[in-house]
Amino acid sequence: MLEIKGLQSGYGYLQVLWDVSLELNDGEFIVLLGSNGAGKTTTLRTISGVIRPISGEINFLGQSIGGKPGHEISRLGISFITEDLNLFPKMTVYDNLLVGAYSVRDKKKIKETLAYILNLFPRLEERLNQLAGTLSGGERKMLAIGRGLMPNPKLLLVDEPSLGLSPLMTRATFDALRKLNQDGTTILLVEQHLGKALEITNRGYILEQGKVVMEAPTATLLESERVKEVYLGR
Amino acid sequence: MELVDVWNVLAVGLVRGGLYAQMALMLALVLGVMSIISMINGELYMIGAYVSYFAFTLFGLNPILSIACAAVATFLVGALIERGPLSMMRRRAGEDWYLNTFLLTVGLSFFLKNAAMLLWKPTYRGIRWYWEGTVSIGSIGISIDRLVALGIAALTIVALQLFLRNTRLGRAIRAVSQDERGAMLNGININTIYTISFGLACMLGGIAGGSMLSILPASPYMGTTPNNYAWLVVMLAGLGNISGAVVGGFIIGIVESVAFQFFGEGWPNVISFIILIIVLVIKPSGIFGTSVKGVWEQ
Ligand SMILES: Nc1ncnc2c1ncn2[C@@H]1O[C@H](COP(=O)(O)OP(=O)(O)OP(=O)(O)O)[C@@H](O)[C@H]1O
Ligand SMILES: [Mg+2]
Repeated sequence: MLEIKGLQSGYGYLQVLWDVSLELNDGEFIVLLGSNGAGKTTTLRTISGVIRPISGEINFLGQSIGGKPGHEISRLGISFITEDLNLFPKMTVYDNLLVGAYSVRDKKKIKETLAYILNLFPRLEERLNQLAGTLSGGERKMLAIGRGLMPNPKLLLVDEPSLGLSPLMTRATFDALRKLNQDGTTILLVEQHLGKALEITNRGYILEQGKVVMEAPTATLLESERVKEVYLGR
Repeated sequence: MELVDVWNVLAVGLVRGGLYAQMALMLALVLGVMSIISMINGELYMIGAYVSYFAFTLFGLNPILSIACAAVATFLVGALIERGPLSMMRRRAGEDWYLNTFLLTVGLSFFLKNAAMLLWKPTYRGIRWYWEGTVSIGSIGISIDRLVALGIAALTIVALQLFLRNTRLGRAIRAVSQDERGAMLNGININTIYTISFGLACMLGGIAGGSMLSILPASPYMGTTPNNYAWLVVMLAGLGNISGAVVGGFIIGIVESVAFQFFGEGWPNVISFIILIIVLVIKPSGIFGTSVKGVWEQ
């Protein structure tokens, strides 16, 4: 589904990613690990078109998307749930979700997806007419994920969903992601919260200083000395 | 002061207020969506007046169609200005583009004024009336034209609000004004939204110019005063508050009409600016000032 080859990317003169390659198959749920500043967010930003790659290839569903503007990439079926969520604080929850469906013209389809999302996050249903800016941290995260699902994306990029959430809320968020994956959405997750992330994903990549240093099924990663030492602190 | 005068003053104030509200809305919309300070508001108002004038006198269109022509023409002019010079500036200037666009709109404003001067000479081009006659409401008589101008202003303002709140495109405009990255990641083309918003803002000015034609005739420099008022009202209401701009427009309209009644010509201006200064000293963010950027939120 997604194939990245020799990707170099960064901000102006500051190059962050060096020759990154990764692959994501249909229906997979993979995790991208790495310490602070490794370039995880930068990878997601480059895929989603927030920043342009310096060079390298990004292919999505057989189409080259490297350097395309963000709105076009979104319309091709990639939703990016950013770390700061980028909600519309002065709009209601409902309007936020409707903006998520901006590129969907079929009213019936919008209704169906909305019902699915409200079923996944019942809390949002109770707060449909509340302004997004007044939601709690956990609710904001649900809204961001919900909004990202409105266009029925084929690929979901999620940046550190557990950030700032209580263990209970983190569990709920991860459960929702797992359910989404089981329902057919391919997911690329960036996460620091390793234990839980490794439980629900199939495969993982480790990024260090902008380079991929390891790629393995999560079971193997859990056993790896490197992961134990650096990320689990054992 | 007689009761009749009170109603008269109020009526005049409301008509003026409608104009100020539309002009302020124009400014607030561009500021809210694109964060740029536009100085060509008055010139779009001027273009609207000329278009209506020619449509009405030269082509003999009916009043409503004449004003509609002004609306369409100014939307197109606005969209072209955005697509052309403004977006070029945005692409080239990067981070500094706010200041650069401000200067650019100042330049465009001069250009448009002088182009109008060359094309149409400094003569006033007005019409005596769109609809002849006056209506009496209670004890006062108000010309149909004034009443219609006020009605059109009110209608335009309400329509814009409904559009922004309840349509797909309106929501996209609000989304861009609140979080550009969020909007882009949801499939919204920000450049398109900029063009449409700028066009819509210009259209507001055009409608104002067209609908007030029999009261304020078209001339090359007619836009300067409304532009100043747009600024006055927006600063008074507080940047980033569109409803505030509308209310502020009507307040200033009425204040000026009262000032005129009591102190005579020349004073309305002075009093408005004194009010502005007092408000800014007491509450620098304006009467309804908000910190969050947005267009017309609840
Ligand atoms: N907008 C930006 N402009 C310039 N440099 C940036 C920008 N965003 C990130 N960087 C730099 O790029 C490098 C990688 O950042 P990135 O956000 O991709 O890391 P990360 O792996 O997501 O880290 P974290 O776990 O802390 O979120 C860092 O050194 C950072 O300082
Ligand atoms: Mg990050």
